Amino acid sequence: MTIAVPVRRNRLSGGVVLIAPAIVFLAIFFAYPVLSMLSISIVDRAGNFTLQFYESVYASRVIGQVLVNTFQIAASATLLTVVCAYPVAYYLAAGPQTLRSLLLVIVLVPFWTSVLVRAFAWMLILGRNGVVNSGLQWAGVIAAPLDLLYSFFSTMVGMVHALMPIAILTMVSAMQNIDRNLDSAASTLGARRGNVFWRIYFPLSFPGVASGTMITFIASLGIFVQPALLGGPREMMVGQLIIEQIDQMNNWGLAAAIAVSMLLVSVVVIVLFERILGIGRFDGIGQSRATAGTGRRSTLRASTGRAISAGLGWATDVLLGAGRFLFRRKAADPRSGPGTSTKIATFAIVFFLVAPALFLIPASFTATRFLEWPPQGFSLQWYEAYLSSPVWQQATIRSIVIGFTTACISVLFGVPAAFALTRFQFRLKGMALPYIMLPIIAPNIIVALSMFYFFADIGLVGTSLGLIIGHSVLAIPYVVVTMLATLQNYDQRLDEAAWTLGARRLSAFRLVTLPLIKVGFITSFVFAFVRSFDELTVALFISSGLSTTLPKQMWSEAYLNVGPTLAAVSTILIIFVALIIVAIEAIRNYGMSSLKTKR
Amino acid sequence: MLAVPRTSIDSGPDVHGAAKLRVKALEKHYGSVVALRPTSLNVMQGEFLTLLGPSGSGKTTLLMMIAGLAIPDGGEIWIDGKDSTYAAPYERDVGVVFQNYALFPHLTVYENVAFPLRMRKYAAADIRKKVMRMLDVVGLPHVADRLPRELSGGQQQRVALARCAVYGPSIILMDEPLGALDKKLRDTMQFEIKRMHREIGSTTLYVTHDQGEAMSMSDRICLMNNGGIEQLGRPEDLYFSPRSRFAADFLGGTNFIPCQILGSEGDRLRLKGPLDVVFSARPPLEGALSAGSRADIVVRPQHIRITKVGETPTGSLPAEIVDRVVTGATTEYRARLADGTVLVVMELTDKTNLRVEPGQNVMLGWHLDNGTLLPTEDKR
Amino acid sequence: MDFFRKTQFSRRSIIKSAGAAAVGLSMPAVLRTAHAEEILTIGDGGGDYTTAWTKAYYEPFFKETGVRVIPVERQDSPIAEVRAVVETKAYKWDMCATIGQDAADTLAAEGFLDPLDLSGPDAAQIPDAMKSEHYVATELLAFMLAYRKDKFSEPLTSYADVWNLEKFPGRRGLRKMARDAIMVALVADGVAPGEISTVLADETGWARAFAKLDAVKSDIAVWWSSASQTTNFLRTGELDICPTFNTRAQFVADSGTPVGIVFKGGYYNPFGVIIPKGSPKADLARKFVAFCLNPERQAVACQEFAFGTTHPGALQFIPAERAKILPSYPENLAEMAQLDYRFWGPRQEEANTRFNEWLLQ
Repeated sequence: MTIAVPVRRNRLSGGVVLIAPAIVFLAIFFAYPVLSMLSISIVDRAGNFTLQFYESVYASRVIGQVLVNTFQIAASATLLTVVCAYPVAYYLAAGPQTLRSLLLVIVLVPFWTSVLVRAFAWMLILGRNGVVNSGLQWAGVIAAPLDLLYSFFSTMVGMVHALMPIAILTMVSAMQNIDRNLDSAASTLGARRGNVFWRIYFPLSFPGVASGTMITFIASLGIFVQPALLGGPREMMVGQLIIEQIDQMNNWGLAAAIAVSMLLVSVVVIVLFERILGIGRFDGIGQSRATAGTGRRSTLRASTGRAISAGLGWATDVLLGAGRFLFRRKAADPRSGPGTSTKIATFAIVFFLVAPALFLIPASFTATRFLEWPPQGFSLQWYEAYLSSPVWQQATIRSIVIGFTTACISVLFGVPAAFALTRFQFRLKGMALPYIMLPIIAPNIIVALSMFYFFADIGLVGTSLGLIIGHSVLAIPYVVVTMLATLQNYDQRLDEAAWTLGARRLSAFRLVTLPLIKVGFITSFVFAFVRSFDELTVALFISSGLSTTLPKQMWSEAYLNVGPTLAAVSTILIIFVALIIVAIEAIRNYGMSSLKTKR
Repeated sequence: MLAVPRTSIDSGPDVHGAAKLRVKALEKHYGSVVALRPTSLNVMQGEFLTLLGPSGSGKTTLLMMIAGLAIPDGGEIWIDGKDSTYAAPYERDVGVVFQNYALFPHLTVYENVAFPLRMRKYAAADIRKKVMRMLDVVGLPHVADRLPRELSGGQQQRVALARCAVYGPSIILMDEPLGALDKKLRDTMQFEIKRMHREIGSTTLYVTHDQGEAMSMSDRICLMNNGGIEQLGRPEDLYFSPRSRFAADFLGGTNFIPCQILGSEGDRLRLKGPLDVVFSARPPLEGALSAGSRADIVVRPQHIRITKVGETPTGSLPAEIVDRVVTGATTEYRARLADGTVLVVMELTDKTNLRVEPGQNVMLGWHLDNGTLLPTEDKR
Repeated sequence: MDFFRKTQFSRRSIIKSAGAAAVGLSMPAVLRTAHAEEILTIGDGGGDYTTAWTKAYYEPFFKETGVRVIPVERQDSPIAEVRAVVETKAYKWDMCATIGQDAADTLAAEGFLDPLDLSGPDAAQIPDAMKSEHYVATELLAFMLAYRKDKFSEPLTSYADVWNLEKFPGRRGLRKMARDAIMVALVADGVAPGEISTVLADETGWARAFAKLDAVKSDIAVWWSSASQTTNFLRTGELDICPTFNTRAQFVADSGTPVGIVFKGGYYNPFGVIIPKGSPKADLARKFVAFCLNPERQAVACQEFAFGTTHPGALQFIPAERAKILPSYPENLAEMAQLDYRFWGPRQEEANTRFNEWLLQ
């Protein structure tokens, strides 16, 4: 037996090893190109240093006002999204198994229709002669059509609809690991439903809420299609200003200066967020080890949180009690999962999520060349157009392949990074999360242009590899945040137990960690896939002209009119995805039942 | 706090290879917080050693480093004569029973117990045999197909024990394994753990903050405080010869009677106690006390005798009974001296001694051998 | 245009070698030589535009020369993309179509375009205002007034009617773009379309435009940003009055919806072809451009989606009924003015700022 000289290892390097691939990948394919591009904000046309662009940014009332609007709109949309998403996530995590896969399909529906098509669907639903107004008029509720569109309201509808799946899935991932026995425990300790929820379940689900809020907020900062197509003149987002400068004014310096200002403010917001809500903090053991220095602040935060929880708990109980008194209902068993009000809220929100699809599917059978309500005549021509076109089909297959590869790469880089952020301490850790989030905050047009310049240099323009790398850059942040939410509620001691029982790190991950974080893992994979599947701007710049992707093909199709072909394509995708999910569920259920009978 | 930090107290024989587990000058800090000052410790083959101490005393940190779940900032860990300081957890032949059991929620009881055997690539038949035998030992063969969340706390605890013992690790580490159980279950499980320890003969390192648990189970107790070892020895040594005020107080609670050294008198020291009463006492185990220095006489409550005023030998203190509580088998008195010092006195509950009533003036005394002298420490 | 390259990628060589491995994994940059037949890639408008051009030019060109023209999606506004392509020499297309003359002028001024060969007889026929050394228009679009005929007893006749709420109640929308909103306002205030740049020469003209806009601001139901929206507005009746591009309005009218189109007071902007500077197939592209300028082919390309023709001889190949609705029909063209992009180019920035400020108030 040889005695090995022990090499001194420590936790520091463990964390760095896990997060380094993601950091380096983003450094090469995101930070370097984008910083190079943004550096033109301090260079004038003659190549000299200048601050003129920043001076124009700060001197401009419009840019300042739009920045404020952007943050206001994003904050409102985030608040609404998170509040609406919570009951659905709760229902998905704690509700009956049977409905779960169906609900999941529905929650994901908005993902499979392009942003453009969704926005147009809302235009037609909320329009003067749209579904809502004609329905209400027919029912005699209103005499004249309501002005639902081109307002703050319709902007919120469009944005909340786009953001909701992200928020729901991030929260579900975190809620998966909450021990339902704790609810029972609390109820035996004398807590009624309201108190059980607000004092026990809600605080435990808070990491998910925090992660969901942050990712929603960041994603909403970059949204501009919905405000532009559904909003009024005041719903103007920074993204639009930047595009205007690049596309119309050929003033990249000013565009870069606006983008830099926006990025800086966003980073500050993320850091504040992290401080206040504690995203990426240590779980279980780590916390007790690490809080020594920040004791007072975290105690203050905890006690404030507890006070709020307690207040909400009593308030809910009073309301529920009043409700029972009014409707003469028996008190529900606190262990029975989501109550009636949660169910109603869930189904209302799910209906909201699925509404554009409910509209698109019949609209795709129209005999006219327009998306309209009610659809005129019946025809399968738009399906024929899709099914008989090799261009459409190749674009679909290419998008699926690229999306799948993107998802694999993003998970490969993103999951270890999330582990590093939740489990390890290392230098500059506080900066790591904002850094990883940057690709979502950075305006798409800037990212796409920067990548084009860089990829042209290294010969990646026009290649599938280039597009996959580009999409992975945009998808990694989603993977990291989803996994963060999942891992916060994951008991690290289970891994430690596996190690002490003889499992090597990889087998422990495969046999213990992975099965327990499955939902979060799959969710982050789906996010990454969808991010690529629905991505247009980078695809327009980076991908080869000869091999189009689905969003590019849809974009092209919408040249004169967002027409029924797009609705048909969306319908096909929705059905396709629904079938896959249902099939997976069926196989799993079959597998489970056969496993049970064997025993 | 003493001026010089106690770096190590190593009472085990320091012969290379004789100890199952040797810990040398191991240390750990988290940022600026010292979790464990350089600490050395030997555990013998088959020994049941308990790390006892309040929370934050460094006992769990020490255990986690021995398990390989925390990486030391300095020092060495030798297991079976092999340097394992930086070995991965799965490379050490240790088993850990976690405070919250850490049963895998997605695996059945059977699969949980089979897990370490599968990791060691045992044959399927072998696994079945060993797992079922182990489940028999812990009395749970009927729950093999259940998931951990379907079990009671005590059952989960026993599954955790079974999972740890099934592959016969050379050292078993237990981190407050009974902390989450109720009193009665705890007593049963203490017994079970001792029984398993005897049956398997494994070397066991047990962490607890419960002194009763430590006293009743351990071959030796390692008392920890403030990230270091306070005292290491057999339970009765710790009880009768505490080396510090902390050790005296943590194990069983005690009275500290302040006094001043007057001089020596044969093998005893003469001292002046409260109310200028003169005592004699054995000198402390370590460190000389010179005349004029301050010290405490440590007397356990059950060693103090209550006598009537007048019928007292020399070296007794006059006091007033201020409180009396009958706790069951024993009765506790609180007695206040004229200078305000309150002493706790414990007697077996006996109808004949219930004559002592609160408000009554009495004399307090004890056998000189039951009084231990400790140099006065600065207040922590 | 060296400033960008200098400041940005001075470490190009290092990156190149670092990227060599990645290149090995990737497919060839653009599949040019994969096939025996020659290929010309063209960034065009996509969708229905591609359909029209395929019928009119791409297929005939293949039949005649054996060169396959491959249409490729590109960004809506070409300026950034062409600049990026030229600066990086990553020619993902050899030439572009559907480029507004205003955008082409900006690109040419920055030196991002290669010259065309306009020596042919057809090129000579194109009006001077619609071509330059680097640009030639293949069609034109009009921005004009459209409205729903079924909502009003009397037809609308000019932009002034947008302001006339008493006579023409109903929902109206305007384009969320400084230039177009200002032009509509001034024409509504009585300025002839050709006089707009003159009126805007000093501050009084600008103040006049914004004062006119003030008068209608609260009555504008929609400030639209994407022209695709207007097709829906007119079709579904979301708006009753909506200045937009003639192609969009005509598309709705062609499908049977009663949409009225008023060219009077509008402007037209030529759209055409460019070759990015350094394009490896510039010569082939020039050949193709000459091919496209044929009036008979232009007639095929333009009539279906109501693009205006630029070759004076093209109209005669279009049925008279259809020709009347095209913006290039002489009577229609006479009622409008060409977009004065030379005036607007340098003023766009300020106009936008001022307009956005006004909108946000």
